[in-house]
Amino acid sequence: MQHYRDYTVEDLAQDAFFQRSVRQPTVETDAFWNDFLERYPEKQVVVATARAFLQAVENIQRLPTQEQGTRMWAGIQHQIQDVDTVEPTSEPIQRPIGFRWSWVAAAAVLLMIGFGWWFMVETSSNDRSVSQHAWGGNTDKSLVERVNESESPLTIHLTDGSQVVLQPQSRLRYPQTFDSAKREIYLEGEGFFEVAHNAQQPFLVYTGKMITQVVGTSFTIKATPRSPTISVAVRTGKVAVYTLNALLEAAKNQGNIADRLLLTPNQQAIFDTRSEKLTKRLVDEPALLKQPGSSQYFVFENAPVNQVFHKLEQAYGVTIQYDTTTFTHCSLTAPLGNEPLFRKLDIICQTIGATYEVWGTRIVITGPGCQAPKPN
Amino acid sequence: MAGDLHNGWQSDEQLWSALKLDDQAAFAELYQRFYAILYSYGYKVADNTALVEDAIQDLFVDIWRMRRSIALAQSVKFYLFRSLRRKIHHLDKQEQGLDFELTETSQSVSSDYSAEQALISQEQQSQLIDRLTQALAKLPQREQEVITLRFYQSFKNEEIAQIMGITEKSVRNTLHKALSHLREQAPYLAPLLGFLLWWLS
Repeated sequence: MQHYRDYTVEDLAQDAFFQRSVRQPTVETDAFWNDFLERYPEKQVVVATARAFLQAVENIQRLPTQEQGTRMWAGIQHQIQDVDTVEPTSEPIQRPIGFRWSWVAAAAVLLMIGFGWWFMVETSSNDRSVSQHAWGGNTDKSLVERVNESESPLTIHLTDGSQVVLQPQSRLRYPQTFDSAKREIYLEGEGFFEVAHNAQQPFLVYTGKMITQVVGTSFTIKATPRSPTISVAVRTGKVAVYTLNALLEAAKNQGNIADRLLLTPNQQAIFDTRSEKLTKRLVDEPALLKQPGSSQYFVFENAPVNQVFHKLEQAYGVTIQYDTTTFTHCSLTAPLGNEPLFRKLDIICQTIGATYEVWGTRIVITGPGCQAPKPN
Repeated sequence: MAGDLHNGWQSDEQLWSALKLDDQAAFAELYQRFYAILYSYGYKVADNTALVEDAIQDLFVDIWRMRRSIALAQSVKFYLFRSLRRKIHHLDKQEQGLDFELTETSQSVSSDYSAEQALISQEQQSQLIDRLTQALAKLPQREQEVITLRFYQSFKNEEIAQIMGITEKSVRNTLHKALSHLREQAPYLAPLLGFLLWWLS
């Protein structure tokens, strides 16, 4: 953001991000410039002038009505039906002097009925603008959109070195080149993100009314349209998740975002789209943070169970809560390997006569404990 | 909708390639993407609704007819803007329409703002916009055209020169004149517009 500090009115008026902020303002762009002006209040006049200038330039534009657009298109269609029976040429059309398209308009209205599919295209683009709006109101054309229409995951490489594995029937939108202050991406559906580390340029994923902010990490987001929840599951690194409302609040009060969840590996945030509440819990299947150096890592031979729990905590980055005194005398002999974490816990608990429950992000183990070995 | 997923999200250049391969949906999408901004630009070239509509229709009919032979040297957007301007002039000559140079000189530039309204704060932002809008609207058509291409369509001076068929120097001069006119119209803006003038000179 700080490079905007040196911008003149001219620089700003020509800056693509600034132009977008003025023409298609979103919650994010507003928050950005509020933040900027809070930091550099001396730039108020420059920003105000550049903004006013761009808006004034926009005000002197005269845009056609929807009817004009439809009328012209019908006219084009009418003319094309005539020319299309012959091969495409390299000659421009020669119209008789005095020919007026408006004369064609009446006939064209009738022809429109026959060209239903053209208008389907038009309607669908209207639908699209609505769905874009739901994603943050950003309709800028410089955004690239990728849709995975195939049956298999699609890997997308971003210019900053990050990569996204987009699941089928999911779509991702991102700028051709990232803004220098932050990397912003819009997701609908499911994607696994591996984000290139860059502390100067936070990476933000917008999914409806939930925002995921990262510095450098990997995680999966599931934001299926019409699904009652959106989830973010972290594989590595750290991620902050907050709601659009929280961002709005912060922008309004010019403060920090208050209610944000910090997620560490194997934790996930669940966003309830109806209540707009965020909660944190363990992922369904915690993954090993890194592959253990030895395949014997989880092979326990008469090992104190406290030590076993500690090893699991380390390997999966989870918190296991238990009464250390109760389980002091429990020991475990089990050749564990690459079973999922919860399968390992099943085996362990069965052996020591305990049970476990997942409470949010913690695994709580309870049981009667084990008898102290009889002294010989 | 499948059509939505298929058509909507390619770059202008990809759209153009599809169009060259006779893809009618790509043609429709091209129209959808550009007709509004082409119209708004066309209106800056000639403030004659019927003429601009005709020019846009001719332009798209030509594109479809000549789709296999048009070679794009620059962006699709650049091609469309340059071609539209030519079409408008062509039609206009046919119809003995406006004389652009005459229109330009016949515009009067007047000042009706006082200096004490000069303060700019966030609260006065909308007032500032209104005044700038009024001032811009009073500029000669050609100056509005250059400003539109530069600040609304984000073309470079070099591209503007080619679209309008003038030299880059004339583009710079016209921009400079436009901003000087703005300054005359609204003296209180002078210190601010100075930023703009500075880079043009």
